This record gives sequence, structure tokens and C-alpha cells, in this order.
Amino acid sequence: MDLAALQTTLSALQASQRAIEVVGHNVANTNTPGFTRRRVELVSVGGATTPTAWSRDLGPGRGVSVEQITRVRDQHLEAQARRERATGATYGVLSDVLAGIERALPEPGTDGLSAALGRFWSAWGDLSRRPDDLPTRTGVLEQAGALIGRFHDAAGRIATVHADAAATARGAADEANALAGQVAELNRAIRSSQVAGTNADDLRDKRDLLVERLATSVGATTRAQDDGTIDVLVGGSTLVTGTTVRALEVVAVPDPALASLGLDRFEARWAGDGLPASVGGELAGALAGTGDVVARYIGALDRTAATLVSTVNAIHATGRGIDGGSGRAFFDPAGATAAGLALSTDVAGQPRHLAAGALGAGELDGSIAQGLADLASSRTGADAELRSLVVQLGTEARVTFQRADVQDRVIEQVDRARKAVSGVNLDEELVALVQAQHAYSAAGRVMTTVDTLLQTLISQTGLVGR
Amino acid sequence: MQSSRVPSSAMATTMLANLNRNQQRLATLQEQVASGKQVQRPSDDPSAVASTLRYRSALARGQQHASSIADASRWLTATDTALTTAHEALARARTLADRAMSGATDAHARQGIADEITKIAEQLVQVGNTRSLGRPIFAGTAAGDAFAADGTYLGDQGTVSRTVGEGVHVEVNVVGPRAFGQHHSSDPMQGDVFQVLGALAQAVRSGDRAGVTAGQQALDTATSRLASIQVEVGARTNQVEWAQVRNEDHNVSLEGDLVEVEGVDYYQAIVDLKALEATYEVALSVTSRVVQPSLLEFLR
Repeated sequence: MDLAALQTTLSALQASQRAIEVVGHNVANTNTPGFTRRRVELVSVGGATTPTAWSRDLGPGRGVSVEQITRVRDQHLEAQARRERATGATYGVLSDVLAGIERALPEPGTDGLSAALGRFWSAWGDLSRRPDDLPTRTGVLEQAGALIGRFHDAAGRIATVHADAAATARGAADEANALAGQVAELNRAIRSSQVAGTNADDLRDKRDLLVERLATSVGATTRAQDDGTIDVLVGGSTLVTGTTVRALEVVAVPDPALASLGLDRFEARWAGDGLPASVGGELAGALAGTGDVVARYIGALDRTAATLVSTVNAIHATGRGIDGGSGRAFFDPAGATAAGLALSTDVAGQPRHLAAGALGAGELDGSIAQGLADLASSRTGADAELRSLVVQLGTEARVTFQRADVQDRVIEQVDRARKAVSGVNLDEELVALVQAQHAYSAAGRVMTTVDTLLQTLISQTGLVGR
Repeated sequence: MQSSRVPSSAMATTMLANLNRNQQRLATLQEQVASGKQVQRPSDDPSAVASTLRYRSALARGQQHASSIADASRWLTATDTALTTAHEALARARTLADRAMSGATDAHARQGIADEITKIAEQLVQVGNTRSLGRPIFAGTAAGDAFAADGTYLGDQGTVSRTVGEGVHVEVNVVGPRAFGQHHSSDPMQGDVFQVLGALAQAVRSGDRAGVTAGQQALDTATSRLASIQVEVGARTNQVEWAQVRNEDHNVSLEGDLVEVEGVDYYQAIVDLKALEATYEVALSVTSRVVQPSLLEFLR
């Protein structure tokens, strides 16, 4: 028995204390988002293994030591979670864009373009039966005005969807830049704490949370470095290297497909050198929204308007107004887009100029008006184009919504797997607490016993001759 | 085994996610029942929406056809009535001609007969200028009266047709000369009804028996011409009536198709709603039971 035995029990007391502290920290942070549970790694301390010249350590060992306090985290699952979140964010933004475009075209419904077209053709049908009736003529102009209004409405709403997506893109880029700055700050703090040997686990948790948000915003991935810092990469190019940061920016690029609305598409670039950035997450979804998706549907809508203009004008020009004039266009040929659709100056506010009858036929002929009304059932007319636009939109929207839904479930599953590794289970912690408490009490008992023995040795022995 | 660890917060998250999904399904069903439509937007069911748009478009066309049919019907009826009146007038003229031929008529009586014949001619001009809804029915596509007071045709040869079905057109008008005869530049007896009546009145007045006989024959020709036109109008009227029946049937079946594609099956929807509500309540009670207990309650 030597005084060193006291050291052994002291190490036991300290280890138990440390274990209880860790339990306390875990329990306090049960519901903290992004918290990784800590675990105490205990290792037994052996005696001196090399004998000295005059003595050997014959004891069983020298107690316990806390080797380290680990963050229980599976890096592979973390990376997977980031990837799935990035994909989920992309689908989420695309879903919003497509839902917005669906709202721009309220089909099927009495407010929609399809119904307005129906009323327009019906007005021509009414005119074919009463070509000389001024109110009927005015009715045609009114329905035409309402139809033009619907086209303008739809184009305007699609432009709003575009603006929202552009705002989302800029917001995502700005958020990414801000987060990158914070990650660089944390990198610096973690690196210096690693050098100093202090515990930086909470900082690491915070950094992981920021990186997760970066993954959602721009589809970032990470690469760990030996000095405790991590590099953040976007599309293979570094956003954060240690403590240096680059910035992303969103730049407007003219696009002929969006020209009819006077809008640009957007691209993500690196701020310093202007090279294109290959992004994911919300930013990718928003860029696709402002570019491909909007362009596709405004293009289809423009084609519908152009078909309307050309088919109606072709027939109308062969007819004759009540005033005898012919060869007039009904729609302005220069406005063959959804946003630019308009009545021609020949016809606007001039009901007498509407060509209901054929050239050379009598004043009360309504054959041209009938021909125009018959365009309603044309297989290649505006109605058919509109229907195929609606079906395409509905299909793409449905597929995107379903993908977003599936992706949400995948994210849930991955999160469950992560939590299974890193999450705090209260029951587990309480059992550990009870264990540590017992260990502490037992170690205390041992210390008392050793103390008594030493006391006996010191005070009760060597009394002979006193 | 770490894969079997279930941290406390995870249970709550899973429960919440499932409750949320349940609520979403409830909201969708409620939207459907409240609006009576299964399909609110293209993404709900793209092919159903395409069908809906087609049916709606066809229904609008069907309603236009119904208006056309009504208009055609009106026009043909007016034409038939006018032609019947004309037929009766010609019959009266024929009787008068017979009376003039039967001898025992002095100059005064013959003058009276001639005047009556002239009046019949004026009446026929009025019949020729019949208007339906303010539009002359025998003038083709011209505006203004079909016939001048002296029987000269003022209209044109245009046809007025009405679309009574998809791609089905019916000619609804009869141009003046077809019913009342073509004007002849030299021989009135070979000309239109007004020329014939005019020449007949003249023959009666002057006692020209040969002229009256020619007039009788010409009247017979005019009468049979009218009769054959009336048969034609009758055939077209039949066609329009048939088109009306077809149109009504078509519209009714389109409405039925529309309801089937976009309408909500109320019984099914209410059963689903009740089932979802029950599921939701059970889920809530399970959540409350699972989320509460922990080891804390059992340790001192």
C-alpha cells in the first residue's frame, strides 16, 4: 500500500465527475437542433511498464483516465443528409414555381383562357346570324377585349412568378455568402482551439448546422482538413478554404425566350472571376425556375396567342365590314405574343369594320363570321394549343410535386438514421448518470478505506519505544 | 446496435410528420367536397383536365348550334308560311281567270276581275318582302326589300346557311326568283309571277281569251314551282328538326361526361373523410401516449 493508491481512487472520482458533466450537457441539449451527443471514452491507466534499476511496479494499475470526449457522429450519414436536403430544396423551389404558373392559368374554370376563347367564338357565331346588328358587333369587340385581358393577365402572373424566383435566387446566394463568412470564422476558432487543446465540440456542432443550411441553399459539400478546419465546396469549386471566403453572385443574362415579357434569365457566378458556378439546392431550383420553366410556358402561351392572331386574321382579311372595307386584320399582327396581344387599329372601337360577310356577297352575309366561329373546333387552332399547354403544365407540376414529396420522406429517413446515431436518448443518459453516481460512491468508499489503512499505518505503527 | 437507437426527439419528429401528412389529406378532401370538383388544377389530374377542357369547348359549340337551329327553324317557318300565303293567292288568281274565261262577263265585270288580279299581284309583292326579325327572307344576302312595287327583284343570289351541327350546314333561305319566277325580258307569260299576273289582268281587261288561257297555263306553272319549293323547304325543316334532337342529346351526354370526369363522388368522398378523421384521432391519442413516459418517472 502506498500513497499512490489515493491517486488511483482520485482518478476514479474525477472520471465519474466528468461522466456526470457529460450526461448533464447531453440532457440539457436534448432538443437542441444539430446537437451531437457526447460520449466519455474511459481508458484504464496501467502501471509503469519499464522496470527501473531498483524497483518494479507490481500493482494492478493506476486507475482510470478520460481519454477524450467524443462527438458521436457518422460523417457518411451527414454527407448523405446534406445531399438529400439539397435535392429536396431544389424540388421545393421548382414546386413553388410550377404552382405559381398553375395559378397564372386558372384551368379548368370559368375564369380561364379556355372559357374566354369559348365566349369569343360564340360571339362570332351570334354575329354570323345577325351581321347588321350593331350591339352584336359591339359584343364581339367586348369578348375580344376580355380575351386579350386574360392573355395579358396570364403573362403578367407568369412574370410575377419569374420575379419571385429571381428574388429567391438572390436570397439564396446572399444567405450562402453570409453563412460562408460565419463558417470561416468558426474554422478559425476551431483551429486555434485544437492547437490550444481546448474542447471545441459545440463550435463544431454549430459549424455543421451552418454547413447543412449551406447545402440547402446552394448544394454545398465539405472536405475535412487535418487542422480541424473544413473546406466548403460548391459544384467542385471552393466557397470556403480554411479562413478565406469567396462569394457567389446571381447575374442577369438576356434570353430570347423571355424577350416577350422583357425579362432576363439568371445565372450563378463566382464574384471574383465571373466564372459560372455549378450550384444545387434552392439556388439551382430558382435559376431553373427563372430560366427553363418560365421560358417554356411563356413560350407556349406566346405560341397560342400567335396561332390565335394568325388564324383569325387570315379569315377576317377575306371578309368585308358593313362599310364595305375589306382586307382588315382583326388582331394587331405585330402583337403576336401573350403580353402584346391587341386589337388592330382598323378594328378597335370600330364595330362597323368587323368583317362578318364575304367579299362580293350581300350586305347581310355572315359566312366569314361563321368561319371564324368554326375555328373553335379546329384541331390546329388556339384552343388545341392551349389544351396541350395545360396538359404539359399539369403533368410537369404533378411529377415535380410527387418528386418533392418523395424527397421529403427520404430526408425524414436520413434524419432518423442520423438521430439514431447522434441523438440524445434520455433513458440512456439517465442510466449512465446512475452508473456514474454509483461509481462515484464506490470510489469514495474505497478512498475512505485506503485513508483508514494509511492512518493505521502512519498513526498506529512504529510506536515501540515511545 | 446503433441502428436500433431511438432518441427521444426523433419519436416526436416522426409523429409530427405523420400527423401533418394526415392533415394534408384531410384538407385535400375537404377542398374537393366543398367545391364539388375532384380536379382543382391541372396538376391534380392532367388527363382529366384535358378531357374537361374538350368537353367544355364542345358544350359551348353545342349551345351555339342550338341557337343556330332555333334561328334556322324560325327562318324556314317564316318562309313556309309566306309560300303558303302566296300559293293561296295564286289559287285565287286562277279562280278569277276561270271566271273570266267562263263567258257571261261584260266589260264592267271583266274590269273588276282585272282589278282584283292586280290587287293579288300587289299582295304577292308584300309576301315577297316578308321580313323575319327585321330581315327580308327572300332577298338573299342583300339588305332592303326583296321586291320593288312593280315586282322587280332587288335582292341578290346569296345563300344563307346555318350550322346546325359539327360540319353540318343547312341552307335556310329561298332566293326570290326561285319561288316567284325569273323575270323575262320579252314575254311576260314566261316571266315571274308579277309579270304573269300583270299580263293576265291586261288580257282580262281587253277580253283577250287567248291571253287569258296563256295566263291560266302560266299560273299553273307558277303554282307548281311554288309547290316544289315548299317541298324543298319542308325537307330542310325536317333536317333541322332532326338536328335539334341530335343536338339536345349530344349536349345532355356531354354534361354527363363532364360531371363524371370532374365531379366529386359525394358518397365516396364522405366515407373517405370519416375514415381520415378517425385515423387522425387515433394518431393523436397514440402520440400523446408515446411521447410522455420516460425513465425519469421511475428513478428516485
